[in-house]
Amino acid sequence: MKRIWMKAAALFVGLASCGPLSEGRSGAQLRDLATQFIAARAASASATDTAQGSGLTRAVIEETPGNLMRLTILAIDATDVLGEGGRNGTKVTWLSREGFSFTFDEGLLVASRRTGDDLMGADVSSAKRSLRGGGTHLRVHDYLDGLDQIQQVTFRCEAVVVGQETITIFERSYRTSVIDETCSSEDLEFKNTYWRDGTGVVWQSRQWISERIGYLSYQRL
Amino acid sequence: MFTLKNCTRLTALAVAVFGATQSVADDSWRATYNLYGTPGIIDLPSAVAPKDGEVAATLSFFGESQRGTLTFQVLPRLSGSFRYSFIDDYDRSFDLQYQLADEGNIRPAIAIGLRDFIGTGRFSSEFIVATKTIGSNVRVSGGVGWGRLGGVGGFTNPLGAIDSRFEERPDDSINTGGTVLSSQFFRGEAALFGGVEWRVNDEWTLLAEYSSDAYEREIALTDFERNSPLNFGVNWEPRPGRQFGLHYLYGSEIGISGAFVFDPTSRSNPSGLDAAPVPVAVRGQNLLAAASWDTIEQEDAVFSSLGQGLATDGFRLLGAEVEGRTLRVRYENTTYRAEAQGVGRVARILSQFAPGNVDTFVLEPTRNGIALSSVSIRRGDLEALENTAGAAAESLARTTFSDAAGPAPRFKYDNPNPAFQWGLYPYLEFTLFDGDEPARGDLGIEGSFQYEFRPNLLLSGAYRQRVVGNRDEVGSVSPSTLPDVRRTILRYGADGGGIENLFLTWYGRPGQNLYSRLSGGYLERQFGGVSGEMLWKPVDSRLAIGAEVNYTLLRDFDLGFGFRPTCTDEDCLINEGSDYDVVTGHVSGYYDFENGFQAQVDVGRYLAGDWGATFSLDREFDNGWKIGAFFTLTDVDFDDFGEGSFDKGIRIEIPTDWSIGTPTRESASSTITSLERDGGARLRIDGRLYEVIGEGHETQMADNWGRFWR
Repeated sequence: MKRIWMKAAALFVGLASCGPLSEGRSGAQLRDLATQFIAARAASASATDTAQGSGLTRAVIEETPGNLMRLTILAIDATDVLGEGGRNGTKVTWLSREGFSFTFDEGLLVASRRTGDDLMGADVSSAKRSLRGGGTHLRVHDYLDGLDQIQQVTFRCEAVVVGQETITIFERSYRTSVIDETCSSEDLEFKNTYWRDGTGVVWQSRQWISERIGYLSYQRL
Repeated sequence: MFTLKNCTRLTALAVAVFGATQSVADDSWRATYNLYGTPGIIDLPSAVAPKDGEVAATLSFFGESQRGTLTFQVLPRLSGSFRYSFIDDYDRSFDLQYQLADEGNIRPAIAIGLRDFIGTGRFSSEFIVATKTIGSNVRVSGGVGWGRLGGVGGFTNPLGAIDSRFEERPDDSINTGGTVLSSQFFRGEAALFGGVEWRVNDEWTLLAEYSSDAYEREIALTDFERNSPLNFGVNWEPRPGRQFGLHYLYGSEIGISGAFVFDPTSRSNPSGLDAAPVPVAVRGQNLLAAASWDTIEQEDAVFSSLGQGLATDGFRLLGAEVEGRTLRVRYENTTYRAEAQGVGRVARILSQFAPGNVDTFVLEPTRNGIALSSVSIRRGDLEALENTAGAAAESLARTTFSDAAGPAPRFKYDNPNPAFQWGLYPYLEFTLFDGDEPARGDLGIEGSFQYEFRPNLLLSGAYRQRVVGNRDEVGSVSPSTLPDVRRTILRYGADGGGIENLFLTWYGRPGQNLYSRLSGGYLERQFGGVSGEMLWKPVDSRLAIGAEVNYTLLRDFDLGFGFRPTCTDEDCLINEGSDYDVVTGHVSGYYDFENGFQAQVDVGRYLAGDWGATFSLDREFDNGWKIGAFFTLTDVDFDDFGEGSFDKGIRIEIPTDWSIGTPTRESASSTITSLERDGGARLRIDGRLYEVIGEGHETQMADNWGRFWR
């Protein structure tokens, strides 16, 4: 992804550079807070640099603190390494240093930011159930239109386990079930694919974001 | 003559409009824009209604004729057009077209239109037209026209059966133009016209028509020949919203046209390229802030870093305090067009900083130092709704708005930015559409500064130095019996430079629902003095009422510190007597209709001492586009007013984030108004209260609450 935006990074630096706060509990707490974000940012940054030098290796991943994900927006072939930046219940928000964020609920995309046509929020509660062994379900997606209004789209979907596959991500192998989820609304349709291990972790997937942006793919590192 | 004001931004406007890449939905066959820049075939109208809100800018040339038109689909069935054209000299005109019926299975679409219905009436005509689509790629139109469109093959007006007066078309356009020519409407001979559009493929459309327009004026005053009533053309639409036409007209002329069509309701990046917001920190899961703050010092230390944090996301913290379980912050959103988006982002940042015992955030967005509203958000709602479907509507329902007239929060954030800010920019100022030249312009350098004594007490000024230009090279100023409060405006700064403005403004909140402004100094290019304003607007009200009183003196042409008397002679070259001073003022009513229209009425005294009222109606789209029109009627006679008869104009404002995708509060705006005359002239002052506070109230925030989670 293009490096055109550094403001969020600056925010986290801003949080960190609270010099007078080195005394007392709030200072410590803030440093922790800052550390969390800085870690996500720094992880994303260093791993991205390494990845862009084609030098991303298992050793680099292990050295980098925090969880990492490699994510590609397929239509524009843009790849970045994201760090974990927030958790809300089962939802995890991953940040790129260029200011993109993607939020996954047990591996299913529920929100994107900064793509230009973002998934503003989603209800994937029944999709999560269906992914455990197949089934049909509904999905509800929120999008923002040109007039700043939320357009809600409901999809009818079916999830099918299509096979078992052992995938290798930087020298580590995972035994996964491959699940296809096909969804359609009145005007739109898409097909997501998930590589999910026995504990429920989706190590790799290809998922639809929105009409204009199309699909992303990710690998947990 | 027409003047384009605020034209330093014309370039920005052009870039905004023409640079924007946007897709226009085209599941149906869209309107073809004709040589008049209105929905039609080649030179003739059709009954096709463009998409609601669509804006089309059209240029066309044939023979010596030139037409430039801006057409706006005001309502789903109503189009309005403004045109600047050349036949033997430059002239302007306005059209209205209303679709009486849309197309059914059997019934054709039917529309009624008034062309050039205000002003000198050179294109004056009325028509009723029907259009039917046959199959999916052929559109046939036919109609009956009066005026110019009743010029060839005319027959006795069928409306004469109602009243014989319909059979004669009187020539009642008055010398100064500008009045509605209603006594001509649908009068005189009528004639039939018609045409066909054949869509060959997505890009190419072939056109043919039979015209009943006699082109009398063109034949009489130019070399135009009308050898045939038939016109043929081809329309090329290489991509949606770009139409180019090549035509063979009236058996004698080749014509070309180009239309640029915009849909304000869509944008290429519907959710914008704004950076991701800070995620919500959830209590009991990943909140790293303290459980509570034990000392004031501790609290203040966190507030200071909150100020830094907000600054990096585009906000300026003014103050903060914790009272019980509520954290209240007062801040200014300097980055995001939609105040609702600012509220959403600040609330998420607060979730990261606030101690665990705080369960309510009260956000007070401000502008020019005054708090606009008090937005109360429960922390638990942020945690529960983040990234869920329906989160926007649900969070709006759980948010409460109230007045923010109360005292500032305890902690005052010390803004690290210097109080003195300055800038140096090139400027471009145009005078468009006068009777002699389509455009005049100046190019120069503008230096401006602002000094902030307090957030609500500002000293600002601007100095302009012209580098090149011909804007002052107007010949004589047409005479008038009124004091020259506006008609000599082009003589200002003719020496090359001067003080544009230099004044102090103090904003205040005198009480619940009340806002105030007091300004003093060199307020605008032509007037200096004092101006006071008070506005009443409850935070949840669609109605606002304001009052303004100004005492001003007329400034010297040299744009120095001096003042001058008005001119006493016909050419307006002799200025004698004592300096001109005037008390002006208005009582204003504003109403924000639920369908997006915004009405304003200002009643009071104008700069020439005349009394009257200004009526404005704007269509405001929730994404920030505004298109509107206004007119002013005062006790000045149309003859005394001079060309145009009374002050009127149209205005357009395009939010910059719509064009570029990244967040900014900037917008590009232009007002196309009748020539600056002295009647109905108001003091031009930046920062009137309604503009300042409007976006920060409940109804406006609710309109784009979809951006709360953006």
